[in-house]
Parts: sequence; C-alpha cells; structure tokens
Amino acid sequence: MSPDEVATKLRHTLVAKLGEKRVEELASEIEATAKQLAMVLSEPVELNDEDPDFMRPLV
Amino acid sequence: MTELHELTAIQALGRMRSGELSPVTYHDALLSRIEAREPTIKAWVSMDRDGAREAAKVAKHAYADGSAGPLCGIPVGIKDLILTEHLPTSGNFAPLKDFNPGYDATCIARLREAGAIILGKVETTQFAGRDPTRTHNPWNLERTASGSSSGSAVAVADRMVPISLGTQTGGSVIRPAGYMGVVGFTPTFGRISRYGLLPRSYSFDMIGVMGRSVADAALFAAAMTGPDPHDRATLKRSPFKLPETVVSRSPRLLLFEEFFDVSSDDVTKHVTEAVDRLTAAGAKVRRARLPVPLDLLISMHTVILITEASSTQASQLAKHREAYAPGLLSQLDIGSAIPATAYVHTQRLRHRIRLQFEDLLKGVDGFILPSTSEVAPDRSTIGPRLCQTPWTILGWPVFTIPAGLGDEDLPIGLQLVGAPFKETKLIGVADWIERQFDPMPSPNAF
Repeated sequence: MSPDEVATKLRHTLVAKLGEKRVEELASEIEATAKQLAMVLSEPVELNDEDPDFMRPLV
Repeated sequence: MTELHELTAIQALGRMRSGELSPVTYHDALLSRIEAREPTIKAWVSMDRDGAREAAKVAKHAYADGSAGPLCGIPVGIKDLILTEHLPTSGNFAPLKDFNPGYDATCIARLREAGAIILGKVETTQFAGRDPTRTHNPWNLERTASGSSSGSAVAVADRMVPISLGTQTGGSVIRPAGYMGVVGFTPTFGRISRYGLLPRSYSFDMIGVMGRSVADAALFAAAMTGPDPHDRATLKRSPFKLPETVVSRSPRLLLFEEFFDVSSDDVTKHVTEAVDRLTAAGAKVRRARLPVPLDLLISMHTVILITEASSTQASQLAKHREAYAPGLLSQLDIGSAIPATAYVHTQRLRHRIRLQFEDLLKGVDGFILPSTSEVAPDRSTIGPRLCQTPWTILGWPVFTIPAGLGDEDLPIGLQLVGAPFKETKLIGVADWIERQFDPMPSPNAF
C-alpha cells in the first residue's frame, strides 16, 4: 500500500470515530503516520522468520 | 570540602557507613538545596517531608546498630508515573491529581527494603508523552528540560538528589539524562518489574535510573531487579551482579555512522572527539552501518507506541478527553485507527530485526553512538527520539555517559548499548568509558 492509500484508510476510520473537524486538525500528523505505517508494511516478514512467542521475545 | 549535595550516592554511603555523615544531616542538606533551587527549577510535584525525615532518623539508627541496608539513607526522587504508598501518582494528568491506590510499585518497595528514602515525586510529561513540562533546564533556563523524565534528570543534575527513577518508552531516560549531563541507565526489558507503573506502552515501557556516576546508577538498578510475580516479563531472571573489579581490558565497540547523519554539527564534532579519546585510551572502535534503515526503526516505534498507548489510555480518554495535552491526544486519536494486522506485523518485524542486531554483537562489547542528536533544544519540545528509540525497540540495556560540554556549554552524552541480560559486562564497559572523561561540572544557569 502507498502512503496515500494508507492515509485514506486512516482518515476514513478516524472520520467515523472522531468526525471531519478533528480529522482536519490532525491532517499533517495523519499524513506523517501514514508514511511511517506504509514503510513498515512494505517490509516483509517471512514465515521462516517466525517465532511463536514474538510478542514476548525477551522474557 | 565537598558540599553534601555534591556527593554521589556511593560517596554519601561511604561517609554514612564510616560514621562521618548522619543520614539526617544529609537529608537536611538536600532539602536546603531543593528549597533554594526549586522556585526556579520546578522539578518536584510533591514531597514526603515528614516521612523522609523520619526515614532518615531510622537510617541513622540502622547505621548505629549495624542493620543498614545497601542503599541506607539515600534520598531518591521518583518520576510521577510510578506508584508510591505515601504520595499520589498523577502522571501529570489533572483527573488523577489525588490518585493513590495505597501501595508501592515493586521497584519502590525494593528500594525501601534496601534502605533508600523516597523523598518525593518529580515531574513527568503527561503519561510520558511528548508535551513538555513546566520544569526548567538548570544549564540554560531557556532550553528544554526534555522528557518524559524531565524532573528525574533535572533533580539529579541540579544536585537536589543523587538518584532518581525515570521510565523509558522511546528515549525518556537516555534523552533527558543526556541533555542534563548525568548518567542514565535502563537495564534490559524484563529486568525491573513494571508493576505499579502507569502504563503507556506495554511492550516498550522500562524503568531506569539516573545518577551522577555509572556506579551509582548500576547500584540502584541492581537493587530493583529480580523476579516479580506481578510482572511476568521478570519471572525468569535473577538480579544481575555488579562487577567485582574495575574492568582493565579496553573495550571493543561498534560505532553506528547513521547517527552522525542525523546529529547537529556540535554533537557530531564532540562525540567524534570523545570517540577519539576512547581510542587513544585503547578502545577498539569499529565503524558500521545499521542492519536496517533508521527511518524504519523510527516508523516501527511509532506504530507500536501509538497503538498500545491508545489502548492503555482508552478508559481515561473516554472520561476525560479535555484533560489531555495536545501532542499526546493526537497520538492517541491516530493510534486508535491503526489496524490490528498492522500492529501484529510490526511486532513480528521487530523480532526479525532483533536477530539482525544480535549478529552485530559478535566480537564486540557494545555499540556506541551519541545519546542525543543535538544539545537541549528550546522549551517548545522534549527533543527528538532518533538516537534512543532503536534500542527501546530491541529492549536492550543502555547507558548514557556524560562526555563533557559542547560549543554552547551544554552537556553532550555518549550512549552505550549492550547485549540483552549482560548488564554486568555493560556496567564494566560504562565505567571504563566514564573514567576517560573529566567529571561534569555543576549546572550554572543561575
């Protein structure tokens, strides 16, 4: 997904939760977060990288 | 003669053990220092004056009858995000100004058991978020006191207490400690119980110590470690040991170049000089690149942090939305829209990246880099998280060690990162590094 596509999805969810006005206030931060989220999602994690306890890796 | 407020914790402990210094005298000297400085500095939220003085009297008797614990009589400042039995814990959130469930966090109970005195609570940004506090930087009143552990760093730097507790979810121990020219130490995730810490991010939150020497910070951190049935992350780990002897072998260190790309000229110049000094003293320093882009690490931190924080704050947010600071509120709002699949993907990626970093530890004693990408900026910000966040993602132990003053007469720190659960070795290396630099002067803004 591109940053624009991620931003569109975030805005859609946030409009439903918080309304148009709040989403306008958050516009630049939504865009910045969308770029970061798109970067993370573009990084593959293969099944052979998997650790069944990945949520508690240092325990 | 050294003024009492200038003593490190270990120096004060030595004098108290020898009978040269009474814990009550020491307590009173620190209170006088606080009274003189606090109207300008504003590091404290609340103080347990009667309880602390009473504890100092108990400590005096303990030294007299031989029952003194290893931290006996040392007053400590506690970030106002960690529960203390006798004082409220607000997290700098007005609706919680009187919040007190009436028990100590595990780390506090362990400090008391070892004889430390809980003097009071020090300022935090709201729920360890990014909105600056009212606290002033004693090096320059126009610069930030940083955060989130602003009061913790300032109280130690300004000689109000020798030790404080902070917490780190992004860079909230290392960054303020670095800006203030004090030592900050965050042991491995799972070493110190978080039970009794108001949460921001369950998979990032860690408790750390600030002091004016590596030995001080290590001593107090060690006292808080060990299994706690209330925090499962701690269950399999016994407390780490302090090094028994001074490390004589010069350390082998890996220096990541990316952090100079994002640092100011001042920091780059002084950290390069500091590394040269370590090399001249015998350290083997090898330059390397991060195994993944720094941008990716920062992005991962954002995704996990805002998602978890949005969950931990959900109940308070529903009741008290108007009480939230604007920066934190924005993060909580956006975090509520992160898809669950994206969050889980990021946690899986985090595991893969941790393995990549583990490969880089082979043949070295630790990583070094600047503690912060710049000296303390203006008061509108707590400062960037670029240099600290990668290690919070890994959950590995980290020190910041003061490395002198930069061109603006503001402190610059060297950051040292070690292998998970290898604190004993890391403390030895940190101590070696500390000995290569002159002691930091006192802040002199007023």
